[in-house]
Amino acid sequence: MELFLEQTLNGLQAGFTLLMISSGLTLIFGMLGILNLAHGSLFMIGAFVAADVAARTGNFLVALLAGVAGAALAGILMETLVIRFLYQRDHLDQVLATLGLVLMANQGVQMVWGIAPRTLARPSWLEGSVSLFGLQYPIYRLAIILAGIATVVVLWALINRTKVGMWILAGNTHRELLGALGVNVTLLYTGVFALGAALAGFAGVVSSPYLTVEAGMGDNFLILSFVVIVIGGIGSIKGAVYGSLILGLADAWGQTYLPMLVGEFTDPSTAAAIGSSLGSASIYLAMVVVLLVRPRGLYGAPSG
Amino acid sequence: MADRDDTPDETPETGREAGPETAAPIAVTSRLPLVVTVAVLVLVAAAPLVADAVGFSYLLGTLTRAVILGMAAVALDYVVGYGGLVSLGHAMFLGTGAYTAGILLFQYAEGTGLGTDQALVAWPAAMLVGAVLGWAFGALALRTRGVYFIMVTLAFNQMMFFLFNSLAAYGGDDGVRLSGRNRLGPLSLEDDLVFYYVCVVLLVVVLVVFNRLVRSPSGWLLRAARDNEPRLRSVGARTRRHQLTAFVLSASVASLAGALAVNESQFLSPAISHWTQSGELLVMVIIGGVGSLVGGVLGSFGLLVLEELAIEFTGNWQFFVGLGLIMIVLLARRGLAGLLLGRRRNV
Amino acid sequence: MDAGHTERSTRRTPRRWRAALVGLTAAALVLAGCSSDGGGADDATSGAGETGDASEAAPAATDDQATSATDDAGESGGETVTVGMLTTLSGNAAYLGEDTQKGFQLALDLAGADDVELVVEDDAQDAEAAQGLADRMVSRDGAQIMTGIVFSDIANAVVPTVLEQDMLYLSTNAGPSTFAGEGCDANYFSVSYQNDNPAEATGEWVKEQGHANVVAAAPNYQAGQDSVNGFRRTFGELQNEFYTELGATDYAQTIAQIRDEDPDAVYFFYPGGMGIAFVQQYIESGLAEEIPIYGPTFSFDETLVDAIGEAAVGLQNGSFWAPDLDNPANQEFVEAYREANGATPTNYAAQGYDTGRLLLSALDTVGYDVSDTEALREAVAAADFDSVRGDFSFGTNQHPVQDWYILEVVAGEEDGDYTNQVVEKVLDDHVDAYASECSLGDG
Repeated sequence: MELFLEQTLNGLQAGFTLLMISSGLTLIFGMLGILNLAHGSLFMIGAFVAADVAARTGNFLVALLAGVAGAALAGILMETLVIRFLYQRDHLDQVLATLGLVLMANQGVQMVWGIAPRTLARPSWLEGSVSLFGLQYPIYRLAIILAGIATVVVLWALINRTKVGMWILAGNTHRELLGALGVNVTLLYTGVFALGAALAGFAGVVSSPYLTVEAGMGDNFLILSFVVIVIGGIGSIKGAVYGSLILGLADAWGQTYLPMLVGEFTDPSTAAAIGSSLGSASIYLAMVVVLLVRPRGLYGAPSG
Repeated sequence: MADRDDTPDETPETGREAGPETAAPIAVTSRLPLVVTVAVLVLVAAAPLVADAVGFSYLLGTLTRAVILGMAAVALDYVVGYGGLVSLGHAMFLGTGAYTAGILLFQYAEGTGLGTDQALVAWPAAMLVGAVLGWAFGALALRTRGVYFIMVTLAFNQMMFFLFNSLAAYGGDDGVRLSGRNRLGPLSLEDDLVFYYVCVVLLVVVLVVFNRLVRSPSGWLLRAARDNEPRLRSVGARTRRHQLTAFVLSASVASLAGALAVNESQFLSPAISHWTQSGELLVMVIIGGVGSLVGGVLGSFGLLVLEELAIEFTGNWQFFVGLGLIMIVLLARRGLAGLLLGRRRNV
Repeated sequence: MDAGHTERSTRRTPRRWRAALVGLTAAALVLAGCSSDGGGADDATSGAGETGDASEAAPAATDDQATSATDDAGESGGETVTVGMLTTLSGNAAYLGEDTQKGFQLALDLAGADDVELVVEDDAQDAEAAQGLADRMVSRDGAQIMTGIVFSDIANAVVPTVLEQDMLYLSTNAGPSTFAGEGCDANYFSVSYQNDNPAEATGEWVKEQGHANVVAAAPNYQAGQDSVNGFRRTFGELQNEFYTELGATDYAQTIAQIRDEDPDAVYFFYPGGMGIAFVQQYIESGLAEEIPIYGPTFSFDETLVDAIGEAAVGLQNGSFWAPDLDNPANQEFVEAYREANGATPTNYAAQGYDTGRLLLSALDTVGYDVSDTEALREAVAAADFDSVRGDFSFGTNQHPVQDWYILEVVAGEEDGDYTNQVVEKVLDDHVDAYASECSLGDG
């Protein structure tokens, strides 16, 4: 029971981290129509900037702010220098150009910060663990869950309660309207891209204490985010929320219980290896099931 | 663009809507005269001799890889350029072919389980397994279009990558060294030059087959579905079936390329199916020119040369390859094939 | 992809860019060997690039290389010997290759070995690319002896092609079982270890500590499983094993499972960046106070413990070397390395250094004449040099017979600097488990 509780919390924490990345990705896709493979690079850039600033100042909050700002700035650069010219292009061009950005970013962070892996320590005031229904659970992981919930609330408020949110919603479906309303579309696009980048950077910083800050650290998150938004439906923030949480929990439970299940049939060593492979595959199986039932994802627009 | 009408939630771009219905790749293809294809193939065939003459014989391995990856790029171009289905998962078929032929060869050498060193068995087997997987993944992935299709193929790619990684009997993620190459009748594939020309011959066959396919009714429907799928469906054409056929064929040929690749390197490793390899194949297609078939070959030679150059001049070669890629997408939209034909077009 | 849109983008493209691209294309085709008149230009470019690569070793080597590439190694005697170092110099493991190179270079510099020319290439951890590079280093740069590979998968791919050409390969790091057992080769020498050894040393130590119930955690791949098997070889049966996705660095789930198992100790194999993450998370979970963890040296090199920081202090790991290992050769090395590079050497640097010294001792024996492979082989096998490890000799499979130690992470002299200190020797003159399968000694 303790194991189940711990794994559920772990699944939620992983899910909320994924949510911060995939919500930005889906927002950018919904609004700008860009499939951004370099979204994982923004995650990475946020982590690198934060690690650098933390090493200089020793202050986690300052590092967090710097990381988010750094990712947003990198996002603005990307948008104005490259992405902007891809709006009129098909997905193939977008994939290739953003793949080019991935290569540049991966090498670029090494050119700036060197090749040795770095780390970012969690702040001292979030160290240690608390007792939760008899389980010792790290405070920092709980803090990520809370930050994830806060992200959902803020995004919801931004989209449903502000003028910018209204524009974003309008832009999703009726782009021409924006110009007619007198909205500065260019600026709005840059802003949305920067917002997505900042979210990815935020995720990069807060998950860095659990990761090694190194080139390519965002790649796996990028692919997982793709699975999330395929499950949730492209362009749908709501879909990204549910998709992330489903994926986080499926992975946590799958990794724990599948090896146990296989262990009933074979020796522990083989079971551990097979079960672990099955656990890794469980998220893709989840995706296949959703595709079979709803090809456009849980909250995607219905097929035309 | 195939997703445009099919996917209302995806960005109705005013710019995109405005274009005339005839798609450029068809125009490029019909303009790409046979002589260009033949010229490219002659150059490919002459390449090792020239490289040897100027003292670059060490490049033979690189050239062989370029031919093999070019074959996979041609196969990918058929679904991307003519089907409008952007697959970011074709490296999984390279891996499938490599693992099929590689495992057969490995088990033959070890004397365990099912195994053979005969190319005439192993290579068709690789194509068959590739086709079956292509059918399974294609049937699922083709339930989606456009950007979903890209992401689903990428996810499948990642899944297969993890599968290959977990094959502990064949070295897991370290991979395993093979004791030699397949045997093909009286030909000695161990001779690098002979192997090169076997690859070139197969590349020619692949090009001929796809060229004929493009001109066949199925190929016509494939292109038509790319340009306006709902309209075709409304007149009763079973577009998904032709798309699936194309995908299966493409997967099968990519698997053959994988089987050749494992022969070339004599080393079986999951690295061949990493998602960035899928990206690299797409890069080859676009460098060469989407929807030109032979462009895949140009692209693979171009990319390998670009990497070779970047390695020579700078340790940070990935950075410059990335930069070059962006430049090509932004500035040379029609790829090498397009540039070769650029002047023609302006006349 | 419609025509209108293509037209637009074409028009937007400035004319000079198109010209440049046409030029690039032409250049590309030339270099691909598609044009016969490009030879002269090609020679110039590749020569220039090579000087950049090998500058540390041979500042103005272009001419030498051009000649050594054209004539075969056959007639050399008392001439310059070209050593090809193919190692990992990019990506997140780049420091492993850099340290190897620094160690090797230091050995050359200290000996004032002007007649050894070091050609260095980056394998980028790509087995396929590495094969091409190895071919190039041999046939174009005229490398006569190869060394430097960090990762086992790269070694498995590249080394056989080197051995086939009757050249020596001296391994500075990777020690896969491929070349240790039946597949051992007269031309292959491991100057580092066999991959299972660090796990075996750790297993012996954990057993001596009186831990009965132990669980293991490792990434789900060959080296991970090998390491757990190596541990089991000296320790005995494990209570349970956990394998995680390779490259994943969030170990919350594995830690939850370890908590659930409640063992006496944990053995883990997480090399490189994965190790930093595992140790930090394990400590955070509060388990570290109840259940001690042990690992092989791969997770505790000086670069990694600096990254883990204070939390690493006190952790124990199995290794064949430590900076404070008490012998004159080691003291000289550590001092010279600190002076040259301003950092405490890692085990990779020590391995590179030992390989360099071994090679120089062998070259001295044969008078820098590498044309007789057999003589060179015997000279290397004699291992007539002062290793930084103290005792060092080759077993029948030409892998090291050496002592293994348990190290403990301690704070270094400066703030934020951490290093390893020897606690105890656990295995004396240890021979790897595969040596008996090798038939080299029989003949």
